[in-house]
Amino acid sequence: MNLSAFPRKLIYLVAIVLTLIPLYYIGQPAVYQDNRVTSAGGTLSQIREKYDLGQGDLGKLDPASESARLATLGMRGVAAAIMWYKANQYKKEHNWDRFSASLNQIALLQPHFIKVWEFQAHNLAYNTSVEFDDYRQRYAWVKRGMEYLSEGIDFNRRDANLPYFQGMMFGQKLGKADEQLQFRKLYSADKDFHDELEAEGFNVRQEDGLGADRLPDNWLSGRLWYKRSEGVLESGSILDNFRKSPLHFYSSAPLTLMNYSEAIEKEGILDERAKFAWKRSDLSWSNFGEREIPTTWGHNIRLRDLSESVKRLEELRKQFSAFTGDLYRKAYDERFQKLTPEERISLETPDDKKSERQFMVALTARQKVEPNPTDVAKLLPPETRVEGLELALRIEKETAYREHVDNYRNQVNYNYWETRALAEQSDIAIAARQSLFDAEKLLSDAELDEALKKYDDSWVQWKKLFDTYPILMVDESGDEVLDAIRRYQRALDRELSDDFILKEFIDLRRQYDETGGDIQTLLEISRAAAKKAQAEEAAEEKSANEPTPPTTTDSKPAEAAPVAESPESGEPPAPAPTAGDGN
Amino acid sequence: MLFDLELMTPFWEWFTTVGLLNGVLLIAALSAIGFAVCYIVAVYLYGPSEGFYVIAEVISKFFRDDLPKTSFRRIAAFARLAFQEAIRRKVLAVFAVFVVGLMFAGWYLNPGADDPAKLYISFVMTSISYMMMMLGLFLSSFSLPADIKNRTIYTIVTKPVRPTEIVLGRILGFTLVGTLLLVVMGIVSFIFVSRGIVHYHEMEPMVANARKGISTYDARHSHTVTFSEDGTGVTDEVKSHKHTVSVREVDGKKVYEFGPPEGSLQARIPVFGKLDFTGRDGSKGDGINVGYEDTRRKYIDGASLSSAIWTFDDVAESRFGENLNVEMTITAYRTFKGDIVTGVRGSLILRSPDGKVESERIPFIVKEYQLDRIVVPSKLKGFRDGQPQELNLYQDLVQAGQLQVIIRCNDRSQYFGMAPPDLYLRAGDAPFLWNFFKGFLFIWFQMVIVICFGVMFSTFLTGPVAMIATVSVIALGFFGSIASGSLSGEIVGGGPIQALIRTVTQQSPTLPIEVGAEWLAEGIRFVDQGILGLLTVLTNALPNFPTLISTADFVAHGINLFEGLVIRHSAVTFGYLCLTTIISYFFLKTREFAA
Repeated sequence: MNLSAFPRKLIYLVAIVLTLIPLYYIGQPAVYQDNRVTSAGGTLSQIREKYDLGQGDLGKLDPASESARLATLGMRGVAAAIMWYKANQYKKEHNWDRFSASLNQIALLQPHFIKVWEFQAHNLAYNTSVEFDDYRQRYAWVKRGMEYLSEGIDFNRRDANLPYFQGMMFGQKLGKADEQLQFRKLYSADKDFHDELEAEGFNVRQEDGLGADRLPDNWLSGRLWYKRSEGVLESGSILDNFRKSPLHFYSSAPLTLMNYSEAIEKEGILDERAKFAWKRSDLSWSNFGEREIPTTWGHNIRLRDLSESVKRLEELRKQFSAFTGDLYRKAYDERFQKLTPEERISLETPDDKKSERQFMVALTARQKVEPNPTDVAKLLPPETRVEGLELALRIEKETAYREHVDNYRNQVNYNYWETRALAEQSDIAIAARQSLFDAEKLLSDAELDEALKKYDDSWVQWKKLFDTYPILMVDESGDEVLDAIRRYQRALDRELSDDFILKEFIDLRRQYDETGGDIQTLLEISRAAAKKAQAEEAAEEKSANEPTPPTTTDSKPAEAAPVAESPESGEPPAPAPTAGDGN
Repeated sequence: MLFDLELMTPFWEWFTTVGLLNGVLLIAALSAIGFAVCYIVAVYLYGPSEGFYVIAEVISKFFRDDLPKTSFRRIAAFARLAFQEAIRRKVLAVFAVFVVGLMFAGWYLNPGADDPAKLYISFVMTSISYMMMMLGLFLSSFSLPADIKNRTIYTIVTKPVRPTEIVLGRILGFTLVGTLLLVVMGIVSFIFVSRGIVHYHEMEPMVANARKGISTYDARHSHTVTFSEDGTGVTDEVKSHKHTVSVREVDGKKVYEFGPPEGSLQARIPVFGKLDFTGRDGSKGDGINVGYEDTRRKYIDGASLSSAIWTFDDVAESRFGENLNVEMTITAYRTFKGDIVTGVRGSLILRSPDGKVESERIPFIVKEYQLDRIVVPSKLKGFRDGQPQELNLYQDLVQAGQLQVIIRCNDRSQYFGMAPPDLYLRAGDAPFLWNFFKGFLFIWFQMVIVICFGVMFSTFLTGPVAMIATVSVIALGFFGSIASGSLSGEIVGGGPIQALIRTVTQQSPTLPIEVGAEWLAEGIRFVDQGILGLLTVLTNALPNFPTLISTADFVAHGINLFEGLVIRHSAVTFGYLCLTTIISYFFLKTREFAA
């Protein structure tokens, strides 16, 4: 034996012990006694606690996943990279079973890598499914994507992204694909899938998830996933990786109800159930409008605050005007004098007589000449100036708030959906859709004469509907009617006459499709009509409920009636038998 | 699954065109290099003429004494020693690992897969082949170096033994251990696979006296059962299997009994044909590329004269039976969604090679990624010179043993995709167990090759280095095609130096490399080409492991492993055994000189 080796070994031993000491301190686990932390543990344990990084905190603990990671002996990254390469290769070769198997293995190696679940679930449901010709096989692959994502959700219960994405898959993928009719039916009848979801703790058979036929509906199940995502977020999810703006995030669930209502109407459910579905969408949309939404400006807004804000602003302006007297006019005149002659002329020329250049000049001149409240307040005498400035500041704040609300409302098309949900609840909307549905069914059954008659009836109904709610002319309903008119024309086998009842609509659509149109006005008219109808209905209900009805009726359009009495969820009213139920 | 049809070439055809030539070239090249290197060393040690004499003496001794006088008795003795040594080194632990792996396989394998049998078979075969490779690697590369290090080798070389015996004995001994393990693993995996797919269903409540019913949902699927007049039922094919259902009456109530799954474990004997395409106008074409990355499948246009024509040889009733089974996996490609509910339609036509006689169109709806079976009866309607006629399959359509099968797509603007192996005639079935055995034979070949290389390297390298060298051989065997692909430009990005620079500087592989100066880039490319060229040459000389591993796919997909392929690989394995033994002999011989 070489004696000089002994001191060397001793040095090694000491070095090992020395390096173990910091390791011990860093890695020391936290100690719990009676559910209380008696020792916070080492740095690693503290960081884990602080950021909720413990395995148990993230979601399911799976022995298969743990052992798969152990089995790679620290080469998890390499193993995962190889599996990704292989998965890609299998996909290229259209070797789908192997592809799906390798995705499962990737997930076992990286169960808390959110993007992997999302990406590969999308890969299965969107990219793989379309490679199959049989729509049932396509559905099976979409389902496989959803099952995959479900597992991811189980592994990462504190992540809000995955259930949100799952909501999109259930809703959009099944409900908006070309095969939507088939997919929706397959999903509703897929008892085994519902059982499987229920076993995983997600009950799609709950009252909120049941469609018009009392079976789980893909849109409503999607909404349940969105709700779950909202729940996760509100219970303090890992927010760092949440990539959705709060506005769009919270709009998803109510929009899903709108999609559901659209879908059942398309499938021929055009009775109280459809009305109820729209009512529910309407209420849900209103509730969304009442929700506090964080903005990028750092303050929260409520979308339904717009009219209140406008009122508050008017009130403030009145107060300010009374407070400042003719100072505003003075400031205006002073500034006006400083303008160039061209700017002055441009401002004073009436709009219809302005040249293009004058329009541009007037635009900038107006900005120069209009004093903002602070500027006006500064002209006040010193003793009232502070009070004036405070008032001016409030006006400016309120103006900004109103603009922000307006901006956010535009982002989610709030006005449109609000109006649409109201309009669709009306009897004329239901009648128009029912008659068109009947006509189309007769046409597909080759009952030509009957179909043409029914179409003619239907155009009258649609004319009524478009006159009342012109916004419907330029949305999906308009598209559907245009398509139907084309089919009608083919069945007629001649050009449409000049006195065709929907000629005005066709011309407007042509103009709108070519040059765009004044949607705002269409929307305004529709909103007014919807509000009026709603008020009338509310008044009718009120009078019906009162034992001794008043002798005079208040015909003045009331404020928007509260919609709170319509249930947001629950069983719809008993369905009336549908004529030509295409479901 | 797209098989490489080159693997189906009959043995003699392969041997005379590819095998022999490659073998001879390899031996010639190795001999030349070996001789040159040894001569240089010998010149350095003994001078030019003496050196030549020494080498000539060694070579002649090999042919004169050592090779012809190699004793099988002594080889057997060495094999016994190697066997005992391997057992002492606790190689049986590999089996324990395997069993543990199988016990938990359910965690990793999805029983809901479209074809669980396929998944299970490829899992067991692939994992065993990797395990056996590892076993071969560890056993072979450490044994001789340990003997040399412990100097136990001297007690052997001083006895009248020949280096060939030492080498062959070791290879044989380790192979025996491996074989023993492989047999046990094979039996265990067969039990695992056949047990894994067994499941039973029950009947869901059905209408009295109904002819059709639905089974319960078990093992993540259910079947539709159709009952015949006599009351026995058979299910539809789901996840590649069927069940038979028998009905008994117990106390006036009908009790349905499902049999085990049938058809999951098969070994179909396919007869592949040669595939040609015609274009839209019926003239000879190449098939259309619809834009998929994998271009092995070509497509034909719907509602046109575009067709896929397979020509089969040796078609006879004695081979295929009275009815001809055509099996196919055609894929569809839609340029527009069209009718969503109905699949893309096509037709199959049988035609004589001279084109004068053809059958009526047999319509089908494409079943993508599933096996579609069409049974063609021996008597069928058709046309001779355009005139309708009753035809006999084997007498009228088959001419000189040849028959053509034509596939057309019937829907306008939709496409059918196919590669040669996508349609074949089924000449019955081979027993599954026999096919499974053949699959394991390929794993055995692979293990033997690894052992041969391991022993060869261990004759002149120390244990760990020999292991790394053997791993390099395996790695080159697996991934060497990347080098040849890069060399030919098929894989973009260039060789190792370029890859390193691109990785660090994040440059796209599709663009020419930028390093500041064109002359430098040119230089890097030049060196890369050299490295890739060398790797390609080496790869061509080494065993092709991916082909060996891919045979598991044949077994998994229920395709009978063609006997010609088994013989081919036994020849290749034998070739490598001889080659490595000879090389080892010379190395051991030189070490003896040194000692």
